[in-house]
Amino acid sequence: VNDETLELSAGIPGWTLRVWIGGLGLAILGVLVNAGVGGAALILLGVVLLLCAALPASPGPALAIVLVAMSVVATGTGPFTPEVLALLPLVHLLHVTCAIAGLLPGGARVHLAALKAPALRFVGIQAVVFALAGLMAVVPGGRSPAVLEFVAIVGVGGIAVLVLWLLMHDR
Amino acid sequence: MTGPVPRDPKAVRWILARRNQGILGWRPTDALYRGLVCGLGLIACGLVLHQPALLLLGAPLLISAALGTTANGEPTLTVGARPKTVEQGRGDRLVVTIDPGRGADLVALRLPRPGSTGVGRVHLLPASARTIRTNLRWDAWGEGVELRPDHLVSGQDGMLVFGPVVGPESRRLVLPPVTEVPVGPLPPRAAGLVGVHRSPRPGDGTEHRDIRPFQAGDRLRRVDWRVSLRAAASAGGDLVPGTLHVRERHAEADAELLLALDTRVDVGAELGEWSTEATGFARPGGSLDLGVRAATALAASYLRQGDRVGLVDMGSPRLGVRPGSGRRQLDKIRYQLVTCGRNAGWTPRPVLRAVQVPPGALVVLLSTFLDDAIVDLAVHTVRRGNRTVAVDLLPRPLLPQKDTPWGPVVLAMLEAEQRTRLQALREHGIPTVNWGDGAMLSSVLRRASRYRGVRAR
Repeated sequence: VNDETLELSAGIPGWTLRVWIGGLGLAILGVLVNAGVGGAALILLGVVLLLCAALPASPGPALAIVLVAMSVVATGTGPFTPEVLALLPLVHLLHVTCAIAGLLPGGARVHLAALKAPALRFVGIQAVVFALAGLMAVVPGGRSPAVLEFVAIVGVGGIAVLVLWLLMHDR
Repeated sequence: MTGPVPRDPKAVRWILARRNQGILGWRPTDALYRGLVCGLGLIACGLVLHQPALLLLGAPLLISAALGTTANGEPTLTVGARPKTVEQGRGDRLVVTIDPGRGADLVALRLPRPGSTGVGRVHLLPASARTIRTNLRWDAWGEGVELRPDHLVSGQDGMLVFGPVVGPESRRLVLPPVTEVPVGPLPPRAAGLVGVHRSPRPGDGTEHRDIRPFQAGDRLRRVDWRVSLRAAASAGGDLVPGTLHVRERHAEADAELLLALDTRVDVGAELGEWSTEATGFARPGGSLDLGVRAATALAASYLRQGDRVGLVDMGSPRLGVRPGSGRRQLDKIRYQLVTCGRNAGWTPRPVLRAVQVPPGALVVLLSTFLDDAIVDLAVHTVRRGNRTVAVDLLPRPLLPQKDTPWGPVVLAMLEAEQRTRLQALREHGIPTVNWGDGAMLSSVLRRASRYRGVRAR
């Protein structure tokens, strides 16, 4: 059996991915508690993360990402604190795991070989993001010139247009 | 003269193409929109609000979404050639070849595995695996969909998907297994000149029957010279009329076995499940499964020794196989048994018409004997002059329904009623036997071949 030939084995149950999402949710909640988030915000986020585990193809994961970002802003946690650096892979992993779990019907089986490529891609993207974080940590602080901020916003808009073009492009 | 055909505006064409893409081809998932909206939104907010943390949180989502938009091409799936008819208890190799297209990352494919029922579960596999191999094993006879490779191909991180595509259904006919049982002699038919069984009538067989004086019409090669000379010597030494003797042989005749299967009910050992529908083609270990296996075993065993075997479905009178012999007859009976199983429960009353039963044939009634109608039918068959043997297919031991205190009482009454019916059959000269493994049946058939039964009145 080579890379192109696969002998169908039993695999692991598809609900393992949902358990994994639940575990990620608990980890995210733990990090946010450590950052000082509590009360109703934490309960709301817990409910949304539970929704992510139950219905990974729902808007739950998007809502969870937004709530996590709002919590980070609300607590005023610095960008290079351990809490934010821990949230970077956790949120990304939540996003990717929900995307994959959302493809599978109930009772599906997952073969670990299938998760190899997404795992390698995850590591690669996180390496890029942490390199970016490192770069941001070493550049001088303080307020950027307005022109630079305008160029950055235009750059973000450009990325949005590029992705839309890729989506519209015939496949 | 016709002018140029007006074209829709580009935006309309794009919207229509998007709508078609929603049905066919690659289409974005919620995850892609989530990555784009959340990623771009967080980065934009991070820039506007001077929050580098938001920028860092949004960056992996945006990168992941951007990488996920690269899938294209049309995935294709090919299944290797499959046999249409297979034997129960055997297995085979299934090979599925996938071309997932460019940029594909994951394939969700529905495939059966050994031990799984039906078309199997969905398996999440890497798109790099172009050939998927698995073993199939057919543990239950019947007909049904064996393979339906529904599939969905995903781009990187599940951002784009192609499908789900419903795979082509592959139906399979699994023939009941052939297990031979020890068989006894069958009563030969009153008619016929050839066969493997000794007939009580004189004929041209090989088995010695009698030595008698020569009669007009006897062949000269049948003359027994030793007996004739001895008779002549005792009569004075001359071969005078009355001293010539001939050897008489038994005629040979074939025997017919008619297997009458009661397919009206399919019950298992658990009384609590009698009112529920079987999940598969037939209840494994249930009365129908037992009946089909018994009919196949009897047909195989008697056809092997050269007898003629036929099949009647008492639950669906239009189904059945006329008596015949040979290997092809066994195949016919096995095919027809699967058809009988598919049409089980067609009529509430058993039917076995006189025209379905050849004269002189031994009738083996395979039934659970849970109602009086089958007893009436058996008695009528015997009164028509056919030797009949009743084979009880009710699985043993029966287990009472657990969720009611009346379970043991119901079971006791049911067993008492069935005992009464079997006793009534025995009083009418019909031997009864529980199928078990079929070993007991040979001695019962041996007795039945000697027993004259109740003659038609």
